[in-house]
Amino acid sequence: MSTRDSYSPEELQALLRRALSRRQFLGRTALAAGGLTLGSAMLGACARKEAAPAAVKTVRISNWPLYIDTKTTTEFAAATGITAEYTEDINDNNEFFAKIEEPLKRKQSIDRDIVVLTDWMAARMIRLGYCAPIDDSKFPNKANLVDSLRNVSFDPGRKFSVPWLSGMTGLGYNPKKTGRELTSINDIFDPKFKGQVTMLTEMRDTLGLVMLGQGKDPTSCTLDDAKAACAKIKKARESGHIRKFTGNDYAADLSTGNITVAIAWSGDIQGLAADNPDLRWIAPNEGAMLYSDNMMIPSTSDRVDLASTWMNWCYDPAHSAQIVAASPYLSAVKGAGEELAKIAPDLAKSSLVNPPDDLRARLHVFRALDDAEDQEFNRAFQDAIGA
Amino acid sequence: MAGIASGGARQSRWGPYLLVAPGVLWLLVFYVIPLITLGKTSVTVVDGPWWSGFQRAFTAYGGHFGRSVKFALLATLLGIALGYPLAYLMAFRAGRFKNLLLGLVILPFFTTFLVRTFAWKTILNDSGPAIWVLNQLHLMPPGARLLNTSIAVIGGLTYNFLPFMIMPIYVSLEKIDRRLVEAAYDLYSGPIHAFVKVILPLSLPGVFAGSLLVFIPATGDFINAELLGSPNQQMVGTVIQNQFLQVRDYPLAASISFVLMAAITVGVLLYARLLGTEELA
Amino acid sequence: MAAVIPLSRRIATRLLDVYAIMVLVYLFLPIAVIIIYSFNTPAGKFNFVWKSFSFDAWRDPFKYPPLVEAMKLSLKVASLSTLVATVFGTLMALALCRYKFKGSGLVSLLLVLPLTTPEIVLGSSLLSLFLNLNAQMGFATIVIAHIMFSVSYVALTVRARIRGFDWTLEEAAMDLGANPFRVVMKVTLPLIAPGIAAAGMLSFALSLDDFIITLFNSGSRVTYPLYVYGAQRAAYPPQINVMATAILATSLLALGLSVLWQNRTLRQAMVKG
Repeated sequence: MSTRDSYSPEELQALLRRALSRRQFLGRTALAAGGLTLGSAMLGACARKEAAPAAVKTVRISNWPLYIDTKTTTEFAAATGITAEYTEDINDNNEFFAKIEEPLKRKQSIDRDIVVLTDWMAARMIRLGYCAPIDDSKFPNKANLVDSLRNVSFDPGRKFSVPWLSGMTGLGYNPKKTGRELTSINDIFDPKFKGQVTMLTEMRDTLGLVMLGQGKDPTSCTLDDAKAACAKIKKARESGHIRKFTGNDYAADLSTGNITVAIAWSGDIQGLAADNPDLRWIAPNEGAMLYSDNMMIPSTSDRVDLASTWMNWCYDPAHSAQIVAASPYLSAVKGAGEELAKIAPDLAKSSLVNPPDDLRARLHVFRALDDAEDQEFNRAFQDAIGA
Repeated sequence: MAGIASGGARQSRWGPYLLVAPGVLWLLVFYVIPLITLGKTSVTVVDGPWWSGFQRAFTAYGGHFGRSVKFALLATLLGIALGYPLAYLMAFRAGRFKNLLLGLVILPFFTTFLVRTFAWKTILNDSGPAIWVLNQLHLMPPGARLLNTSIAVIGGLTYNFLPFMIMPIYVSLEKIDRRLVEAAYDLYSGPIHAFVKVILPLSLPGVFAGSLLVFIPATGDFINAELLGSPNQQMVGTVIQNQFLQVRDYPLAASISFVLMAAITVGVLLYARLLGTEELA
Repeated sequence: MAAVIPLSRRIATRLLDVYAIMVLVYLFLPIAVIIIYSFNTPAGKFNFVWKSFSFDAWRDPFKYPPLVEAMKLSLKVASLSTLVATVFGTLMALALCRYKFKGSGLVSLLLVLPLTTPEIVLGSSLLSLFLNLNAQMGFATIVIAHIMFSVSYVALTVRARIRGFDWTLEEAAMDLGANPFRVVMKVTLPLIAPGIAAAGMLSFALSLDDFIITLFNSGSRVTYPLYVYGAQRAAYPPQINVMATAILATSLLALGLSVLWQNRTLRQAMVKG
């Protein structure tokens, strides 16, 4: 298989359009409504940028754990003179948002210049005016962003956000313990695995997959579809079939052997190879979920220029490849595939970082939910997982 | 408390107030006022009557309350069963090792609650040492597990709050006059009799304080349930944390917090009435 | 004397000893696991399964800068909050033990109440206060919270230790015309020092240990427990155990020294007495 841009094919583009365009109108309206807040946020950001002392050369980044290699931050500092204070303190979109929401609402600093959040949360951040516009003059590499992700509904033209990495949600399992290959989402409900199953607390991932298993499309699902999926999850939870609902922490249980099957993110299993080489990740026949985690600059950051410089660094194809080599997810940078083939030829061929066409065809993006819908879906889901 | 009046007469009458002022102020500002704020939050409901948070606390989360109380009670009882004998040993039989033992009892605190709980995960793991031992003894039904069960959660709660049980019991035992203890053992026929008739009643204030110091944090805990339990072991603390930090339904979260506090207060008062003591710590 | 003690009591005492020692073992079982696993060489990211013995993690304890930063922050918070809480708490305990004053009942109640409040309520209510005050969450809010929950523990511990003390010595000194400050430094403080030391240690331990209240009030700062909580989701390096073991060893050392010191002062007191 030849290497190519990890994200280029039309399918993906069409897919994302399909998923997001239904809500585009809504998103735009909300954007317009939030314009006032946004405007003042921008002004504030600019004003403070000038006021910031010239000596401050640190960009403060929050990201998910193990989402970067060990060298990027030091190389960035050596090349630009900007220290990257990189904190792995995002474990959950809601949890992190709850932490930063109040200060942002009050226009207080959150001591961060970059935060990385999943599409739907990025949409909320932008809608609420909590993001500062990226300084494109410091970010010429923005041109390397793959075409399919340039115009997402929540951020047309990518004024406020760019993808860090994209990932797929499917099933992770231990073939030695299952005794067979898994192919379907509904394998996770096989009574044989009772008490050895985990699902994610990330609603769109778990709900999306279970819906696909029920023949529903998360790209266009209704509240009733969600409730049906929740009922199934709740039943499995109450019977003791599901052992836990997790964030990233399913990885430890999967590698130690407490868990046989888990709803899992594509890049994690590769990273667990050292812990347990048997583990496998699949995109089930019915489909898998696709998401991106996006870099954004909080509206109260006084270092928009430095943050934009960081984005620029990460959007160099070679730098992006270096990150992907350590964290095998999908790069959104054109040319990263070729660069990756140079440094990690085997990984570059892996479907994890370079999904083949048949896999791409099965990827779904959870449709955008407005706030009211989000609350309804969440209520049903929280009830299902017993929280 | 006989020397008080003479001491007080010598000093300005503002003396005690000056002494308590900083601590009292701190607690007023950072404990009492926040509770009032929380109270306000609990009734600031956007859609629906002011009490809808409380209503949902009872209707939707009654099970979580019940489970929390059950788990915390079990942890308290286990704590007494495990802690009392050790406290007794420290108070009456440790001799010059007393201070060392005291230190050892609080030493686990210095390794961080979470790290200890992860160590329990390692021990209770499906392929871990606890399962191995139980299998060797043929005490484990095939396919059964320890991790992510009620047993693990109750065990974790008991473990984490055990020092809070031991310390007050030890303090109350230590205060008992040695001659009284000896006399009791001489007077009554068996050691158990002597213990029940003399020592136990005198140490009840310690048991009372210890029970509260275990029961209260245990009911509000969510870490043990989260790390050692499954979704079916979630306690009310999990719900509060979730509602505050994830769902951000602040009125509901505040209501549940208040119901929890009210339930605990009522329980504590009943318990105090039962034991007839007002002493704490 | 020993001959007089009946057999039944001796057996009961033996059994009790064995049982109590087993409880101690239970208390230290996870501690042993923490120490042992600090010498593990995990196969991958998670130090939950035993692989092989090595000193790797001990040779490179500062391999993960965020972990080191978190530890530093925790130690700073614990030191500062212990200092303040110990002063506040000791003063309150002194007032409650030495004086009868109007409102002392209320003060006692105020001290006990935080202990009867679940941590999650303490944390969340404090968060709502800080939010209303427009306060920026961070180092200061963590310290404020830790002082808040430590004051009660300190005051009650010191009070329990000094209740029933004979204060005539202090009064005698006052009668002799010594100035109050000197009396406090020379008489009162040495008398209550062991109680204060115990309370201070407890306060330090509680601060180092606290997760729930800190979670609510830490803003963007990461303490050691918060780091550990985050780490378990992605990677759990043995350095976490190394840190835990190091603190434990330091505390054990401090404990040993204080036991020696207390035993010595005890002996001196006995000689003098």
